[in-house]
Amino acid sequence: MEIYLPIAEMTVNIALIFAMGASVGFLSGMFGVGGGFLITPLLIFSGIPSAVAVATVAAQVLASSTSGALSYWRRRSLDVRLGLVLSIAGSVGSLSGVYVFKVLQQLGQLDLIIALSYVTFLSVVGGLMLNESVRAMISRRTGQQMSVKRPGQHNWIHKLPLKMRFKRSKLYVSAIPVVVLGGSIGFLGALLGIGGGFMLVPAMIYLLRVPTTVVIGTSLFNIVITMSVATVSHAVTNQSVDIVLALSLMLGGVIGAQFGAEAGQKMRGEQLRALLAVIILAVGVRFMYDLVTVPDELYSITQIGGAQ
Amino acid sequence: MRISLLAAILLVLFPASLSAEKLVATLSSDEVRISSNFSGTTISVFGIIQRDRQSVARGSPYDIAVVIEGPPRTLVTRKKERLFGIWLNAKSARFPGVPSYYQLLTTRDLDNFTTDITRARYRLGGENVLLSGGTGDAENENFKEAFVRLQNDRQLYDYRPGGVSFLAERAFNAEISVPAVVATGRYQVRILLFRDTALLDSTVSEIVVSKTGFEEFVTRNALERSFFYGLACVAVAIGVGWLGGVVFRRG
Repeated sequence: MEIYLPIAEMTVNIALIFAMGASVGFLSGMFGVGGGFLITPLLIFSGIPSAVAVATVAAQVLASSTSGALSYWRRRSLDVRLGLVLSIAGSVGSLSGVYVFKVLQQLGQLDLIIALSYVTFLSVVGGLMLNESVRAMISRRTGQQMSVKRPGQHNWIHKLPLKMRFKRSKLYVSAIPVVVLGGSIGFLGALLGIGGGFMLVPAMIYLLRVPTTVVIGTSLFNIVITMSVATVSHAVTNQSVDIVLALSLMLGGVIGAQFGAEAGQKMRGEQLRALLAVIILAVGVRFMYDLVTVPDELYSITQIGGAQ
Repeated sequence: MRISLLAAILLVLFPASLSAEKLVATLSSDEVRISSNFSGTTISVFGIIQRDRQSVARGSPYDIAVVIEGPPRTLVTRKKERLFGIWLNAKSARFPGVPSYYQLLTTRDLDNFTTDITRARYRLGGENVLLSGGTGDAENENFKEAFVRLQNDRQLYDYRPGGVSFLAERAFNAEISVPAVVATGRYQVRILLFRDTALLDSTVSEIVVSKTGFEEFVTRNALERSFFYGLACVAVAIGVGWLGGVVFRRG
């Protein structure tokens, strides 16, 4: 069944969109990630213009992160103060990201930057995650303990000035890395159509030493705020948020996430992380492939305005 | 001798006014309304060639060209080049004021009843809509050729010889196809009557493509009230997220 997307100005098969949303929702329920880094590439590879894909997925990630954030909120498993500092920096990052997005679009280099960014971040994060989870799987097999850096231990980050106290996380740490981290994740989120949770969570654990009990809740809280800012600013700056596409994705995503969460309970943590790492690397490789192979068509057309 | 020379000059300068043929045409619909299940549509053109009583039927056949042009846009054609191992957009050609959609239906292949000059003059054929005034590499033939080819691939530029057929000696019809990817706006439909590479008459009419109902509501708000539209999207997203948690809560 075909449905017309009023902002993208094209028709798509709604069953395909629903299936995309459901499969990524399944993965996000299983791994506890937003899934934007999978949906945005999927939409782009399916022919949806990248401007619409990035802006619309911001709304979709907002929806899928909200239900998780609410359940962590109810259990008080988040650090509101830390979340607020991250989100304020993240909102500024988001606004900058949307501005850069528009400039790149006008220069005709948006697709290139999106592809390069995806290749870089997905390869790095996927590689690190695969490394960590494979080592965890090996150590479980051999019975050897890995040297685990526990939260509360200090590293070079803790020597920076402008310290703030984050009671819920039992942290006394400089605000600078928090602001830089929140700002960068917000910027990338608005530019690439990702929530950034899969980068924020490890960064919070390893760099800031935030305890694992509040990390996911705080990350989700941050994503809700930065993705809300990204959605509104994409709507105002680029007019490319397609509500029909977003709703179709959301419906599939919510349903898929429930099944995914159930399936995820049955697997071990390091197995899940290894699987997620493989998927992340696969998407990165696909972008890389498109960048380096000779394109079928060297020319492309874009519309940049009205009659003049 | 002088009189026939004068008549010949007048005939060249004012072909329509001295011609005995007149073109009358109608469209099956002058509007296209895009709704949620829009996947393209067709509009029929019917026309007749009226001939006044004095004129004598000549031997050569009539030829009809039906040209549909969409609202003008500025389109940029870019070419990828390899730099540091990756392919990226380098040179570009900017074409302002080109139709966002172009369809040409004719009775026979254009070569049979037009010359290069008439094709350029009456904008027949995708390559003849690229007015001068382009910037960048716009004069480069490769870019122009790529532009027409890509528009063809995207189904935005279409040429169908044989797309106009004669039902009777002086009655013809054509089917205009409107694909799903058309932009909204005013589309101009020109119908030209030729004989022996000379233009005898032409008519112009208009088709309006617009979104209706929900789609129009969404687009209008996204463009005119973008901030509130953005807030509404956020509200919907948070609502769906919250609802999803409620519906599927497992204690």
